[in-house]
Amino acid sequence: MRKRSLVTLLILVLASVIVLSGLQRLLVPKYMGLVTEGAFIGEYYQDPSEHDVIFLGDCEVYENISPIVLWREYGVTSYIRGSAQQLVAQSYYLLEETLKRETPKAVVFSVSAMQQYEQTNETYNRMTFDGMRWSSSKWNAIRETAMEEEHMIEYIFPLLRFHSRWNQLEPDDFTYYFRRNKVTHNGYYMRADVRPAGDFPTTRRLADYSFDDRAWDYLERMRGLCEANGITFILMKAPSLYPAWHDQWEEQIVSYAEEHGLTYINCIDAIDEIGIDFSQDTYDGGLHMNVYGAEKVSRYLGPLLLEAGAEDRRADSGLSAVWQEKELYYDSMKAQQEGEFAQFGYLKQFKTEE
Amino acid sequence: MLLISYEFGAFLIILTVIYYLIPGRFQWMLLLAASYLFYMCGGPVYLLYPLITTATTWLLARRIGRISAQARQYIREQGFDREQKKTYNQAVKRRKRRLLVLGLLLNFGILAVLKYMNFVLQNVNGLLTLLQAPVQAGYVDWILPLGISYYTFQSMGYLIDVYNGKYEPEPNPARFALFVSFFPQLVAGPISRFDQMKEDLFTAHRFDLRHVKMGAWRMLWGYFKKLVIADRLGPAVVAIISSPAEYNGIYVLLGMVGYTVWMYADFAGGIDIVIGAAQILGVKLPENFNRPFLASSLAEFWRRWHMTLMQWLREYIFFPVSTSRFSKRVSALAGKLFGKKSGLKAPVYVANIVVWLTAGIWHGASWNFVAWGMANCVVMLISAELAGIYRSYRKRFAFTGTKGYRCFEVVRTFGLFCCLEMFEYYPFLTVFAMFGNMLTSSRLSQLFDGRFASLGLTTADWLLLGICIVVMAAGSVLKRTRMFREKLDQKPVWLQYAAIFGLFLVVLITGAYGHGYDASQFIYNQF
Repeated sequence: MRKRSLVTLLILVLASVIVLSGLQRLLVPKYMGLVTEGAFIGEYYQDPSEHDVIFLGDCEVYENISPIVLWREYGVTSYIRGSAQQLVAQSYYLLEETLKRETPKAVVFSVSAMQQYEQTNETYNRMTFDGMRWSSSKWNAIRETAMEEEHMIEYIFPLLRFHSRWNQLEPDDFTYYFRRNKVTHNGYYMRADVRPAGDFPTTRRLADYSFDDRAWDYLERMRGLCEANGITFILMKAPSLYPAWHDQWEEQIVSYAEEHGLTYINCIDAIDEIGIDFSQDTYDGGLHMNVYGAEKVSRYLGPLLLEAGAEDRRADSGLSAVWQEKELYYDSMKAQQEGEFAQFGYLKQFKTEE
Repeated sequence: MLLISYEFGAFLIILTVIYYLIPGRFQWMLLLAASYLFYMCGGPVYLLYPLITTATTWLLARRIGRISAQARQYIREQGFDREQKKTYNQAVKRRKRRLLVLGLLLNFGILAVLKYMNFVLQNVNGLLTLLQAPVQAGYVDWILPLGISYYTFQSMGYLIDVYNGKYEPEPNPARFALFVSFFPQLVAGPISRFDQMKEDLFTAHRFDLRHVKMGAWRMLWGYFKKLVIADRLGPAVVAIISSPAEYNGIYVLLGMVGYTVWMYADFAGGIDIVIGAAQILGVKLPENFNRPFLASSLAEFWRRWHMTLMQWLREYIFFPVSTSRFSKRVSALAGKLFGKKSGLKAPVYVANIVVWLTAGIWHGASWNFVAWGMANCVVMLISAELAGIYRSYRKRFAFTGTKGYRCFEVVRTFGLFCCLEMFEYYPFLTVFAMFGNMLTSSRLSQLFDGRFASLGLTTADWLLLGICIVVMAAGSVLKRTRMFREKLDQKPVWLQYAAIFGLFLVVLITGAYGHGYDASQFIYNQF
C-alpha cells in the first residue's frame, strides 16, 4: 500500500514537472520575430567549432563585424558574444564562461560599453542572460548586474517572470515551441537594408566623463583573464556616428591601452581607410552598420587579427566544411534580404520597425 | 517583507524546516526571533515601536496582576467583612485603573501621534486658512510601523483583560513579546486574544503533515484571492473611483461593486495567507471572515466581516461604554425627556456611536472614514429601530421565509454595504451626487464608449476575473458545512493533487505579481 502511494506521488510530481516545463517553454519569449537579440547568446552553444577570436560587447560588435567575411577572406575563425546593451561585467562573465569551453588566440572587447555600468532596462539583461547556460559565471553575472526589481529566482524559473504573457501569446510562441531558427551568423546580426545617416541630435556635454570604477574593474579583470590564459586582449571602438564617443572617453581608453601595452583599434579614426559610406553602409541612419558596412569593417580588422595571433585555418578541411555551411546560410540570407529590400524598400521581418 | 514576495516564501520554508527540527521547548523562541527578523526587514527602526508597546504593556500588566494578587492575599489574611472588602477592592481598582489608563494613553497615544498627526495638522491648517491666519503648520514625516493598529489593539486587549482579571499576566516578557509580534499576523491581523493564543504559541509542536498541508492549501487560496483577483482588479477600480468626473453613470455602480470585491479579495486573501502560514507552524489563529456576503442584514454582515476587530470593539468599547457612568447619565436624561423606553436605548446609541467612530478612525486618518463609520452607525441604528416592524412583517407575510426572499436579503445587504463603502473613497458630498448620477444617468451603452477599455484590463483579463470571482463565491458557498479543503482531504490522493496543482497553476500563471505589476501592498496593511 505504502509502495503504491509512493509510486502515485512520484507520477504526480513527474506530471507536475512536465506541465510546468511545458508551460515555461510556451511562455518565455522566443526572440524569433521583430526582436531577435535575445537569441544571440544562446546560439553560441550550438556552434560545433572552436574560435581563434572572440568578440565581446554590445550592439557595436554584433552589428558591425561579420565573422563570415573574416573566415572567407582571412581564414580567421571568430564568434561574437554580444547582446543589446551588454554591460562590461556581463562581457567579463561571458568571457569567463567562454574560456571554460575554448581558448581563443585573441579577445576583442568593444569599449563603448564602458560608458554605462548599470543596466537601464531589464529587457537587455534578459536578452543577455536568458540564452546563457547555467554556470557559476551566469549566477555571478546576474548577481552583479541584475536591476533592483529583478530576482535570481526569476532567472532560475523564467516562468515566474514571463507568466503574464499568458494573454499575449503569439503564433511564434507555438511555431517555435520545439525548435528555434538560427538568427545570427556566429553572433553577427545581419541587416541588408539601407537607411543613410542623417542629422543627429546635438550631443550634450557631460558633468563627468570618467568611466565608473566598477567598469574599470571588470575591464581589468578581462585583461587579467586573457593574460592568465595567454590570450591577446584587444580594445576596439566601432565606427558608429551616434551616440557620440567623447574625446575624454577616448583619452582614458588610449591611456589604459598604452599603460598595459594593449592594441586599441578605433574605427572612427579609420572610417576613410575602411571605406565606409554612410549613405549606403548603415541600416538605421548611422547608428549601426548594415551588412555592407560590417563587411568593410571586417576586412579592415582581418589583418589586425592575424597579427594578434589568429591563424588562417582555411586549409583545415574539417573547419572548412563547418564554415562552408555557415557561408551558405549567410549568403542565402543576404540574398533574401537584398531581394526584399529591392522589392519592398524594407525587410519583411522588420516591417513594423520605425 | 511582503507576504506575497519570494523572500517570504523562502523565509517560511526555511523557518518551517528549522522549527520542526529543533526541540519543542525552543520553538517559541525561534518564532520570536523569526518575527523580529521579519519585522526588521523594513529597517531596524521599525522594531522600536512594537518593542515599546511590548515592554510597557508587559510591565503594566505584571504590575496590575501583582496588585490583584496582593489584594486577594491581603483580603484573605485580614478577614474583611463584606463592606470592608468592597471599600478595599474599590481602592485597589483605582490603583489598577491608573496603570491601565497609563498603558492605554501611552500606546494609543503612540498610535494616534504616528498615524493621525498629519490628519490633525491638515485640519488645523484648514482652520487657519478659514481664519485667514498667515501661518500654516508643517507636516511631519514619521515612520508608520507596519500593522501598528493591529498590534496596539491586540496588546491593549491583553492589558484590559488582565485588568478585568480574565486571566493572569504572562510572567515571561519574551513569551509576551511573541504574542505581540507573531509574524504572520503582525501586519494585517487577525487581532487575537492572549488566552486563545498562548496554548498554541508556547507549547511544543510535532510535525503534522495534515496541518502543514491544510496550512499550505489555505495560503494558496489566499494567494488566489490576492494575486489573481485583487491585484488584477485593483488598478481598474482605483481608476474609476479616483476620477468621479470621468467615470460617472454606470461606472459608479461598477466602481461600487468592484471596490467591494477588490477589498474583500485583498483582505480575505491576506488573512488566508496569514492563517495558513500560522497553521503550518501549528498555531491556530482566529478567523476574520465568515462568508460576509451571505449575510442577510448589515448587523449580521458586521458579525461576519473583520470579525476580530468587531469583537474587539464590542468587548473593549461597546460594553464598557454602554455601562459607563456617562451612558447612565445620558440614559437618565433621555428617559426624562423622551420616556422610559428611550432611556433604556440611549446607552446603546451612545456605545454604537463611539464604536463606529472608532472603527472609522481605525480604518484611516481621513474624514472619509469618519463619515463611513457614521453612515454605518446610522444604518445600524435605524435597522435596530425598525426591528419590531420587521418582526411583524415577517410574521404577516409567509414569503419572507422562502429561499427567494433570503436571496433578496443577501443581495440587498451586499448593495447596502457597497453603497456605504462609497463614503470611503468619495468626498462626503460627492457620495450623494455620484449616487444620484448612478440612478439617473446609467446606461449600458456607456460601457462601450471607450472608457471601459481605458481601465487597463484586456478582454481576457475581464473574462478571467469573472471566472475567478465566481470560483471565489463558490468557495464561500461550499464552505457552508465544512471547509472545502477538508472535504477535499477525504478524496483520493490524485484528485487532491490535481485540484491543488490546478489552483497553483492558476495563481502562478495568471497572478498579477512580478515584473510590470505594482499592486502588491495589502490594503489593510495601512490600517
